[in-house]
Amino acid sequence: MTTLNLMKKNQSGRIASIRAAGSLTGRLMAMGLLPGAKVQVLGVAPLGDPMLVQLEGCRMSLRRSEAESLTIEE
Amino acid sequence: MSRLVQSIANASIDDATLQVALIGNPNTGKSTAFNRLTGIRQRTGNYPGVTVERRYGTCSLDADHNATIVDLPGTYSLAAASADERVVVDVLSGHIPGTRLPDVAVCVADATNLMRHLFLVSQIAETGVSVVLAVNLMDAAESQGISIDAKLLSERLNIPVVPMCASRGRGLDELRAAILKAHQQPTKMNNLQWPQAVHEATEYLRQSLAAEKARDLTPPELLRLLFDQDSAIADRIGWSAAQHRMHVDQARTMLHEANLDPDTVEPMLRYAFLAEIMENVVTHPTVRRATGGESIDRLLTHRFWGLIVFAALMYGVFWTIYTGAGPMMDAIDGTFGWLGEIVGTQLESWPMIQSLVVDGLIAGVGGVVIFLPQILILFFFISLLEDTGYMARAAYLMDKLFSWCGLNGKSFVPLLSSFACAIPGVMGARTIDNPRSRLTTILIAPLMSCSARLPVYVLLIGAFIEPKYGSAIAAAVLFGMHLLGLVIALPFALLFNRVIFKVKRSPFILEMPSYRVPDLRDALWRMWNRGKDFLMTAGTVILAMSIVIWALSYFPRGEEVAEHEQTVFITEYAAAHELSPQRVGELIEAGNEEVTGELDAHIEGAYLEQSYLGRMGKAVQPLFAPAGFDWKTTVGVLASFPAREVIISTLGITYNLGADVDESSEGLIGSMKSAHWPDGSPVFTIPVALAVMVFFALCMQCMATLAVMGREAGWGWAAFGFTYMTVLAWFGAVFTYQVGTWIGNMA
Repeated sequence: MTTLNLMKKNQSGRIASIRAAGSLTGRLMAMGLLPGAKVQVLGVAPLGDPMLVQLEGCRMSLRRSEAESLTIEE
Repeated sequence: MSRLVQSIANASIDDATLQVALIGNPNTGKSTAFNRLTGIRQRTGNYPGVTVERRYGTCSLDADHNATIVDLPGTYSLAAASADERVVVDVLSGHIPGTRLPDVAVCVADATNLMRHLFLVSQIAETGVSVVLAVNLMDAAESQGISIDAKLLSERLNIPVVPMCASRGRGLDELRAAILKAHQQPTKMNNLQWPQAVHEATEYLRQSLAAEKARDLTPPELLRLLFDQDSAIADRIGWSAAQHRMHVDQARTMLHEANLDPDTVEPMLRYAFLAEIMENVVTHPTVRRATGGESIDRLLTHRFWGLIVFAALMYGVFWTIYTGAGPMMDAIDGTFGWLGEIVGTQLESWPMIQSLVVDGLIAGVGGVVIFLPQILILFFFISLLEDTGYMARAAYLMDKLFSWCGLNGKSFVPLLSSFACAIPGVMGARTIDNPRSRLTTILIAPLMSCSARLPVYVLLIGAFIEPKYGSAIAAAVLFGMHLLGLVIALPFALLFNRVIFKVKRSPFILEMPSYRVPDLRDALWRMWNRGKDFLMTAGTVILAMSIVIWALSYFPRGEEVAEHEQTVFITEYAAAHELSPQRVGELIEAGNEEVTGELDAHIEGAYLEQSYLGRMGKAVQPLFAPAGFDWKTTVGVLASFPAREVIISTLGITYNLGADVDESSEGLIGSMKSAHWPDGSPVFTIPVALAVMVFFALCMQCMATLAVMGREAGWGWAAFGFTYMTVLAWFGAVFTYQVGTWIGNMA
């Protein structure tokens, strides 16, 4: 178990849970970041943040502070 | 706001036609579908009270039926977090004045990621509107080996499902037919059943609202109030923050007691319902095919190569703006100058009318039109960058630069373009979907050193810095002036976000859309609209202000001022040229061009000094004394309210050289160098020159920017922007002068 922000480029896993402050949880889930969804880290922006993530069917950019709210299982 | 409501009402949408709302997630090709359906029969405007673009058009469904189609902003859910999303909710619940409830909602979904797009569809169907599902981007899905059983999906959802490829015009006839059918024989979409606890919680909220005689909400609105912690609906019901917290917390506790997490119950249940619906609807290939976009993306988002491509693209865009807009701006300038001369000659016998028309009207209109080339070119590129999907990559690459001060990567392009001109920059901030980030970007955009400041820098550096310190230091000062605004802007962004908006960091989750070939017609259409928008709204304000400033600098204009100035001039000229005053008088009588030219410039200077503007300059000069400004510079500051570069022609007039001077005028540089205070010390020392430059770097002496800010963010924010920049500029100038003088005394 780890959180998405700690994952390295090309690492992948499945979302175990999401716990963000306020309405962010709902927003992340509405965008398809659901428990059970597969994620893969595609890379990190030149200045170290945000990260680029591949989901089923789409790719997304998330800041590390937001990625921290996603628990990932291998 | 009432004016906006009025204008929306006046937009007079034909009540007899069908109202159709086009809704969907961002990047579903919704706008392409809109363009294909409406063709050129479309208009744009703003929603009342918010600067969200309202795009609507007419479409013939069949020989007898027309529909008004409204293209709503892209959104992921109805949990209205941004102004854009809120408009979607408001349209669907009929809260937009002058806009009817839609008869049919066309939900545009992306075939390559259908499940996620159905999330919004399910929310929209709950509002009770008749829904048509348009599954767009079928070609992309096919090329990835994804097949979709639209018939099965339609049966399961009990709504029309139209597969289409809007960019190629496929499926549009079917869509038109489906819209008509959905209107004539509306069906209720099969949707999820909420557990008992959710019903009880919304019922509790409904009763609390009724008990306190607050506004009624529809059942889907009650769901939003329950699920979304910062729901926009909260603003509408008139509960105090405490009331809101008490009731909503109570309702959410009811969910907790039933073992439901109020933050996740909605997406969990909706997606669970959708997973059932979607079973066997979509067939994915056994081996995922890599798309061409993925390898392009690997390059464009690469930590090193991505930046190189980004820098090259930005350079290309701004090179085109500079080289492309330059000649057009010169041509516009020339045309208006020529027009002024022609008209001026015709009106020679009525000097006041002549001045009003030439210096007020023609110069005012010219001052508006001159910005058009930059706006058009920048918006053409912004459209292309957005439509291809590159803008999201650029925002991803640049985000870190801005995240620390509460902005995000989307601020980069508007801020960069503000270095050319703040006007397209402020308008370009529309691409930022977070309203606070957008407002902050608008507020700091005018601090970027635009091209109108350059003449001021060139004049002062050329006159005072370069002769004394050489060209290396001169170049460094010029560079420093350009850097100054940027260095100050970002901490100010942080300050605004912390102090005014009280937000630490807003989340920045950005979907990377698939790469697409841009729709050139759409890009040209948007470019044209931005230009028109600028001319119609900002233009009228700018013109009105130009005339006010003209009047202030023209009146009062008594004959005695000219007579007195002529007497003074004759004495001075005679002394300077060792002539008798009578001889000078004769030369003037004879119309000697050299002498009358100089006399006219002196009279013009005297008129300005006597004008309301001149008097105001003298009156407020003590305010600028700590920055070392004399009354002539102060008048220049006031007169340059319409545009910074006006200070140069104003200095020309106050130094009795006439308005026809530029930043490299020998005469102006000479006069400024030899200007003295009554005690004999020079007016322009190095600290004064630097203070004037700092003032102009930080002030907002540009009414076109002010007008555009008023238009984009509201007049209150425009006034705030003007005030904070003026105060900042004053402090900057005083600091520069005082520290500069102190260092000068030490040395």
